[in-house]
Amino acid sequence: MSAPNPRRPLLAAQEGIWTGQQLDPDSPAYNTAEYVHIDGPVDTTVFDAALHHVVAETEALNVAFAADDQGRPWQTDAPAGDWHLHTADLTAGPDPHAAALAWMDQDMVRPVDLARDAVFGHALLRIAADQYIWYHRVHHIALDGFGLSLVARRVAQVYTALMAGEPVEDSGFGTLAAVREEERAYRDSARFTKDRAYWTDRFADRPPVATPAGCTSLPARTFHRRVADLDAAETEALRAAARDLKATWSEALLAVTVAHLHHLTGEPEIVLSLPAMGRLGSVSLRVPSMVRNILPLRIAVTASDSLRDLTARVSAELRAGLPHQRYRYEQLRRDLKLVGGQRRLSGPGVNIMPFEYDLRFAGHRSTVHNVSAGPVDDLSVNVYDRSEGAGLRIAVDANPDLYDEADVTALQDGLLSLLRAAVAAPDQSLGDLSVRSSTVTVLDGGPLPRPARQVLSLIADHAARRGGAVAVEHDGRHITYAQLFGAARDLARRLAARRVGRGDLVAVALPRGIDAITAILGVLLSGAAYSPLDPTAPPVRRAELLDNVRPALVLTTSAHAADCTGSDVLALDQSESGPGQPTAPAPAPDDLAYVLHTSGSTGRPKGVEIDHRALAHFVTGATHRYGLQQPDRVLQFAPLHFDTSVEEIFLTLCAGATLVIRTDDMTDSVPAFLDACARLRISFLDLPTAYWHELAYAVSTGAATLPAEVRTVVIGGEAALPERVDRWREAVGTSVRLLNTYGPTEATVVATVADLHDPSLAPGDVPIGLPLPGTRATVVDGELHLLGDNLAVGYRGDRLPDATRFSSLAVLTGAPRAYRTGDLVRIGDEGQLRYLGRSDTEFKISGHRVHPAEVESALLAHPGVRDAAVAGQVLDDGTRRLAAYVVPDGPPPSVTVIRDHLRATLPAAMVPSAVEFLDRLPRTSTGKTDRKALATPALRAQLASLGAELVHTVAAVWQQVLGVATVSAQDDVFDLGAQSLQAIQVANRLGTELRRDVKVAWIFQHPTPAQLAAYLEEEALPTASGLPASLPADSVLDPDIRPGGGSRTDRAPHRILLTGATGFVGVHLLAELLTTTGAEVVCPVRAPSPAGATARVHQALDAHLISLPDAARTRITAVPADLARPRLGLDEELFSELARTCGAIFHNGATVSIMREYATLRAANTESTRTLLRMAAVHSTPLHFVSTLSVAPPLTLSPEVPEGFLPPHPGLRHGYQQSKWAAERLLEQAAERGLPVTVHRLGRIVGPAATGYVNERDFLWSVLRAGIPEGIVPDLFEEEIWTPVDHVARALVHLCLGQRRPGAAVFNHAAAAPVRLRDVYDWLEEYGYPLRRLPLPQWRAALPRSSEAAQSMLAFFEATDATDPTGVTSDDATGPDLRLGRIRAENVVGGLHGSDITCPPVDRDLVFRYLDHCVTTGTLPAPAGKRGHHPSRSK
Amino acid sequence: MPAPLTLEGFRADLAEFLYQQPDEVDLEDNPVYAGLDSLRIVTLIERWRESGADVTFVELAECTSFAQWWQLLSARREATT
Repeated sequence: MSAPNPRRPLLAAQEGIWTGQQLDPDSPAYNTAEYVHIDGPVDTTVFDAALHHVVAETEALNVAFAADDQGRPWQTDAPAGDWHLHTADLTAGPDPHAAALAWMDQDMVRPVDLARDAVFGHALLRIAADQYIWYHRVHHIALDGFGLSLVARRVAQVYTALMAGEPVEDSGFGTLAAVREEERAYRDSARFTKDRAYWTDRFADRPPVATPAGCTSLPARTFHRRVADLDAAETEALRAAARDLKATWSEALLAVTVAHLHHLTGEPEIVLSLPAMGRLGSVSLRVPSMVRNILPLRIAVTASDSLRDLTARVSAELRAGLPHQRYRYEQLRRDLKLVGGQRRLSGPGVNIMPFEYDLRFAGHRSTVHNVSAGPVDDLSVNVYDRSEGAGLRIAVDANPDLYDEADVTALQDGLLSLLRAAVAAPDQSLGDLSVRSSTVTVLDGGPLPRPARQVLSLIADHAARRGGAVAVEHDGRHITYAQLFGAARDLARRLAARRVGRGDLVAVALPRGIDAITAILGVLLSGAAYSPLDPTAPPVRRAELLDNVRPALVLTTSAHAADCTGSDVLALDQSESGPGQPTAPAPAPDDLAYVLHTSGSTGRPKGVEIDHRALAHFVTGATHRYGLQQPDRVLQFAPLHFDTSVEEIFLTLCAGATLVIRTDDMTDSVPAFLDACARLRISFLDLPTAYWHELAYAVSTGAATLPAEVRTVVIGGEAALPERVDRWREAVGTSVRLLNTYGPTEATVVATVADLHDPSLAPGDVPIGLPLPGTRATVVDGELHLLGDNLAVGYRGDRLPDATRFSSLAVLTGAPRAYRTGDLVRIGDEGQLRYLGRSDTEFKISGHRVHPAEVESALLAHPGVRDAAVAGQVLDDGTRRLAAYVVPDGPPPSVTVIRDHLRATLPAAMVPSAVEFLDRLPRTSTGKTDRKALATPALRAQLASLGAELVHTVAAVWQQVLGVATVSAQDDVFDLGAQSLQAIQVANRLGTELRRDVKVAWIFQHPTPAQLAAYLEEEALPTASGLPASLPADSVLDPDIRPGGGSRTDRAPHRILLTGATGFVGVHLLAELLTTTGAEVVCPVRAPSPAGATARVHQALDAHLISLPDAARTRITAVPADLARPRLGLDEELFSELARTCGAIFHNGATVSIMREYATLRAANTESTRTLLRMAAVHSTPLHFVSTLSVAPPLTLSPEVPEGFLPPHPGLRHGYQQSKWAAERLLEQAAERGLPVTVHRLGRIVGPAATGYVNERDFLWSVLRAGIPEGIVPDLFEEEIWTPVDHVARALVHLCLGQRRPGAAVFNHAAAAPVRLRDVYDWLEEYGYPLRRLPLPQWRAALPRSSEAAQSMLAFFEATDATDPTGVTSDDATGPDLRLGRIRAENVVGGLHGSDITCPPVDRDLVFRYLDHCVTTGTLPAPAGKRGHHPSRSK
Repeated sequence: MPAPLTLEGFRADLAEFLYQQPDEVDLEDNPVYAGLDSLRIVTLIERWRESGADVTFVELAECTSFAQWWQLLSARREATT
């Protein structure tokens, strides 16, 4: 050949594979393979020769592929040359066949480099004396299934000839050139036009594609496969049925597949993907090559279709489509604009291979087995005709990103059972057959150990027989069974005297205690039912509940009696005269025992009515299941208005055991709690899971020890964290019983129980177990339904939407009454239930059903995660996303690490797009994770202007590649005609332009420039821009924060909120506010109590030497709070009161630290601002925010600092700057929405000019403190804005409360000239400190590590070095210049005009005063040089 | 052994698989455009093999008309009889 290796275009089918490979270049998924099991001896040498012969003559195996500059792929000749057959004798091992399969698996996962590697591989494995396996792998770009079979047949032929010593016949293979020419000719033919017309017409409406997963995913690197065989008889039955239907068995099988998919998805039309060999009438019948096509097959289907109906429809559709089968699937997708994003043309594949290979190797029979048919987009049903009439083999392959193995099993089982049923009854509705062939599993808790007896009768027995036994203990008091029952009977008589009895409801509003237990029993003895109310609940809530239950009477103490106006009240602590009445007879099973409130779907509490039958059943079943016995001492932990109290009280008293009521201080700390349990000899603990999590943690770390007497721990209330269960089992072992309970109030406290102490449970597995004895449960569509006598009567007032949760379950025989829990569960292989999450928290994202709990447990498996919650959020633009809230265990891991961790175990759609770190998760008043709060996105992944530039870049690249005039941010590029090749080009170009990796897959997943930019933004943040991942989202103000009713413009507010009042600036602001206004100043302060908060404020005033008249000090109201917490840690009532009453808000509080990362500062600095904006919005209260000049871009980026809001810029390097910038950004949006807000940017705030007090936390002073004793100071900067704190406080208050300049929202407090560091150092020397000035790196090197001040300084620099190699600490003397440009301060100057407020200059005198202060307080040594500066100051 | 394949039988077999009457079968039709698929071709091959006409899938599949099929089949039938 003269031309040196000409390049040739790819066949259309090859191009499809090439594009697919580019989506994930390292994926081995396009390796296809089969193995041939040869039943007889094989001569290895001859076999090797035969293989080499065939490889050499097969053009498609001697190629290489590479893309040109444009991203267009080409194929070149590349003789495979020196390749080796892998041979191994596996017969020595225990299972040679398995060893062979394992070897293949290993070989299959190696990706092929199409430019360099051979596209194929061969192995000959000996698995028995005369048994061989020939394994043959080839990249799908070279050969399709038929091509593979041509090669295999040829190998058998050549080997046989060589063995016989006969000449090898010609292969008869045609050339690839002929195939290419045929393809080219077809593209120019009338047939092509006709075919295109057929398909584009048939799919013109681009039908929705239904799949069981409900969403799409890119092909994964692996697939799940489950293989099942239809035996010869079943296969023959299928063939016979097909003949009867005048169809082929493949059409009948397609029909059943369509029916099954319809059953699973409910969709009226199923679109299948049918791989087609694409060779009929083609030269490629004799050319090993890749020409396979896919035909989309759309079939309308209803549940009433029979196999006959549906098969006819499939046949007709095929007959219509098959004549057009040469038209390329990829081309049709382009024609229909079905490329990229979530678009698809067809769904699950059904690959029917009607050929049995009957290859003979020198006369020895063989069987062929498929190893992999290439990547699986969604599902693929592969049907092979096994040789010798053995029947069909059905391999179901599934994309592991969309289906787990259990799904595949269920799918295949369902398909096969429907196939068998349909073949047997081809005229019956396939829908009916589907229902009948799927079975509903009922989990049965087994019978009750003994008939359920009424609780009162059981307790009466103990009182009669063991009257002296202690029934209840509390805080040193105790009461015996006889006393308890007597007291209860007395109360019952008092109630009867008030005509309270059967059919009535008595509200019990009592704190935990013996009296409460007596009261409950007394109410029941009276024949009435009780309804516990939280005595400490806010009046509004109590009124709501009272209104709901309408009790005949409220039992309470005289302290709370006044709160129950409108109801008849009996105060237990007030003796009542008058004789009691005899009580009613024992209540009947149908009589109500109690009414307990749970939160309803509408948010209004609903009262669950439990009768005596349900209570008795529950007590009997649970007592037996828990093994609770008379000698037990049970802690009464739960408040009475939680139904766990029912369990604690009645199980204990009905068993004759002792109930020990916890005291309020018991739960102060976990170690104290367990000490108290030990002291009280508790043997049985019943704890809310959330509290037990703390306990498990403390016990596992050795911080606390479980008392030896505790033998049973029951937990419930929310899903137990696998990590805590594992910790517990490691620390406590399995001798203490740990019972995980699950149950809604509607099924009487507990419905299912699991033994978590069971040593056979795998780590990380936390079942909720099986139903209690006497009850049953079933799972319908994934949702748990409870059955049995434990079910509630219903809801009080019978609210209709809720009442429907109780209904008869038609899928079970007898249609028994069931409670639909709304909880999604799964039944494990061993039959125990696993909790997956709430059906209403189930979140659909990209059509994928996500259970937050699944994502949470994956998060919790990461060692750096202590707690986690995941919520689905819907953003303003309708985008849905998953957000993860993570409580780190120690320093937060990076978001990338978290995501990578999740990607390893979860499908892509389940990996949250936002990950945020919190100190703790928000909890509801009942201690559960507050999912509602989480679902309302506090952070939003909208594309703030941060991403605008990137959007532009992406759009510009698309513009070039598509050659169109404009591509807007929201344009779907695939709608604009983008094709795979162009997606690849865009990925390459963007990668070059952005100097980062841009994967082709991302282009397909994010089809608009805005989406892609948003994705790149998030992906890129840790590496590219250095901005924290949550920053763009954090800096978007929630849309519901808008000016509320009425605007407050009064300049003399009576009440002012001031955050950060104990800080350096804050304390001066406080003093200024108290001095210049008569307002009460409310100061949220971190403290355990109001008294503590007040003390802290006064201490701060004293520490800063601020004297205020007592009258002013009385106007301080300090409240315990924490800026970093939701609602600033204030309770809801106080929060709304402040929103109502404060006339101005000064938000000055922040965590100031240039060492900390954004993630640890955002809560206190950014989110607190959002919270206060929410408060301010209620009445349009002015909010004044104290910010920092360091949010501004440095001189290198901007010649001046405007007195206006700032767009994002690369100068935002440190977490502190970032957190303040994001807060300003929120204020900017608030200002745009018309909220009266101001921002005050301060420079370096130095001590008050009046006292010379020095803020020792100030960075510069820290540097001086480290350097002065050593006589060295660093060149940190040239000049800075320095402002005395007392001045800034005066100016700020004046600007905020005085006449406001129209349009002025931002104030740069930089009215005075900057201070030059050179001058400061001069003054220091003059003061008497001899100093050497050193460049920063030298200064650091020279600083001894001995002194404490120096140590903390160096630690700071080292910490910042690690995160910021180019920042201020750079060793490069010419490092970036962080000076600010000219700072505009017109708003400040103008605002102060006419006032007497002027900024005192920071001069030599003032610096001397500061130094005096430092020397006086001992912060700096007295100068050894010149002395006597004091006189100069006193001049 | 079933009766040897005749042109009449050949037409009848095609008609069955093409959902046509035997006299409607146009022997100049391209098997692909007539709507046949590989499974039907395989099934026909099995049937004809039993009638003594042994052809392979590739041989039939590369033909572009039913007339070519008949040519091939009758050649094979003669060869074996």
